[in-house]
Amino acid sequence: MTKNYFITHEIGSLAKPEWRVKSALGKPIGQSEINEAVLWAKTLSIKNDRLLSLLKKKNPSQKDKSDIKKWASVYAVGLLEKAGVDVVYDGEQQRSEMYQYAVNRSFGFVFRGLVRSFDNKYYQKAACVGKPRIKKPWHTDELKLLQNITNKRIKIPITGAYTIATWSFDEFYARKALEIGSKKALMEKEKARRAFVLDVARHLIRPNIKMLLEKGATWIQIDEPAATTIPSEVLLFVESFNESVKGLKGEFSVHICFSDYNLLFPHIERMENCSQYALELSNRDSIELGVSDSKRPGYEILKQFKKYKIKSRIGLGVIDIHSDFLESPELIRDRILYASKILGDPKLINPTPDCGLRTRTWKVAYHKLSAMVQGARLAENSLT
Amino acid sequence: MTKIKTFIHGVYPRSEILAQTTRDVERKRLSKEKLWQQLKNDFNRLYKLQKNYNLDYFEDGKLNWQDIFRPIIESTKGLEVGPLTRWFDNNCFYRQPVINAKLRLDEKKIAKFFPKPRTGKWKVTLLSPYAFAMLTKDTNSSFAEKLDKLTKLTAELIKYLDERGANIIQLNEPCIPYYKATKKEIDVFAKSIEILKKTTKNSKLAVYFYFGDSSLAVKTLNRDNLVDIVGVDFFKTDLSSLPKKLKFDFIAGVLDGRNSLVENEEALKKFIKEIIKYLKPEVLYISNSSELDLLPEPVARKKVELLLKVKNYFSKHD
Repeated sequence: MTKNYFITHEIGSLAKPEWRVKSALGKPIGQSEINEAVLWAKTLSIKNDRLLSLLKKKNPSQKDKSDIKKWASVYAVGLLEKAGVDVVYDGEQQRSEMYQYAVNRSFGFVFRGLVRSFDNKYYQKAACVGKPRIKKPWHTDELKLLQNITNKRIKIPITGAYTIATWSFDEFYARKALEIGSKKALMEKEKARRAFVLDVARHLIRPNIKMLLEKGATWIQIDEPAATTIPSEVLLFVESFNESVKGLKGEFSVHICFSDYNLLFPHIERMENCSQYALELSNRDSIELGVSDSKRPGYEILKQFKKYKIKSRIGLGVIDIHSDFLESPELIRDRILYASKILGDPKLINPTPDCGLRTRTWKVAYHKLSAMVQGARLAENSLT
Repeated sequence: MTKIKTFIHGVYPRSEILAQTTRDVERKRLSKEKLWQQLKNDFNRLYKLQKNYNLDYFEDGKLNWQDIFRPIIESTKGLEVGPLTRWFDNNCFYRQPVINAKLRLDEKKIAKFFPKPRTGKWKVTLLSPYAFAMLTKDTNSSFAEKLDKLTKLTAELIKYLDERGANIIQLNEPCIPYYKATKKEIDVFAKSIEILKKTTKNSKLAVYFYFGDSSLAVKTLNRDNLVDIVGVDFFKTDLSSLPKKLKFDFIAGVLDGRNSLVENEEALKKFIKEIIKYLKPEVLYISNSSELDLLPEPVARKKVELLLKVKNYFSKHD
């Protein structure tokens, strides 16, 4: 068995450094933010003289602000590399968040206002008001930047069609289904819904992926946190994935988190060209060591993947992104070994965090990712 | 001759200012005093909206409710807040109620969550005990026992509201249609409603089904004196699948609470005519299909405005 058998990767976001946030908001950058930049540069062996001079500027220009944002990508990649992660991205330092960022770069959408997510938390929800089209490429600039920063393999996360459609209202396709209260009306609404989702896949996601591939991307991760939101539409989610990657050559995977994974079956048997399912699993697991069913309840769903003979790899969530609890390398090892046992083939396992680590501090994220890599190495040693 | 009336039900969206104020208070940028002031403004605005659009009953919009359970949890001994849980197939979440002891309602705590309008007829929406039980965790009880506990708790709430002059108490029931309940399960639901009906002295009791096909539920409930008003979400139910002779007044959920597209006025009038022709209810209440909280407030306002237009049309064409 060769070394680095279990290829590790991150899922997407990292927290944004305070100096990047303040710079973007046009707020003055104080000594504590500068100290933070110095400290992490030291930890990650980054030469940051240019960044420090930018941070100290009293009236930074737009270009200065843009450069500061690029430095955030340099730092984030540095953090992942230092932790030993095999496949990297920049913790989405160039983006705001996954929905608004994508919609803002698309024609055919208008923001309608705040909608409550839970408690006092709200998000800006857009309505589709015309055929979706790309306003400007979503991630090619990021890719170009990353290609200059790292020699490691890059995996680019992109928000999926089903999630964009499900997190938006539909005022365009639904206009063709104005009737209510009859079987025919219900069917017309389903038809309109399908047209909406698949058009987002065809006219927003596929062209974006195509451009990324043309610019040298090799692995695209389609993020679909909404995949199982509407149980009766899981097949539509599958269709939207297939439409998104149709006719394209590259590696395509899907990340689904905080969802009822049982609803994916049997529909995902129809997923085409999906190399990996990245799943949030450690969040559901115990923190005891061991490789028995009773010690690893969070990974039970893998039995379904085995049962349905899904041949794709599993992005195995081994670190909890909602807790500062630092998983030990031994705990991560056991999670990997258990998953290898269930799937019957260690080559199908890629250890990952459950989801993006943006809610954790860099210190916690760094320790968690380092433990993930160490856990992967321990698991390799156990199998040799 | 069918009489057309209008109202809204459930949680109404907070204004952007109120949403921002709640956030600022949480981050300690503003005092709680400011929040109460803003809440008061929003309550007044919502009453004014309902008055201006000539709605027949006024709801408070539950503007000070974090979710459909929280005030009940906070005002009931024996209930506590559990994990964040998805609200059916929507991109919004609630904190799951957990039963940890015998339930006892504290009326002093609950009062601020049911402000009565100064004028006009008062309507209140609650979640039905069946849905409450389905969505609540109680590791020490069977479903029947849990339903019994929550029916008693809801009865206390209904008694409280009935004594304070609520004209209509609407029990919203999403679980029966969403989970495609069997006739046997609907009978269990009906028994709980029967108990609650006996609690009301002056208020009318309404049951509203949404998030799924409700035809079996309406057929099963269609008997004398069980409940005063029944309603369905017409974005999920086929009119022709409902029984023709209704033993109750009827709520038509025809304003889509889950999509921002404002309904076409003509299509709406046409459909209401079909309802009248088919169901021939004595009173037909026109309303939203699900809680309007799933929409931004300016969109919800436009939808409520449609109620006025529809009502005016039918009052002229009586």
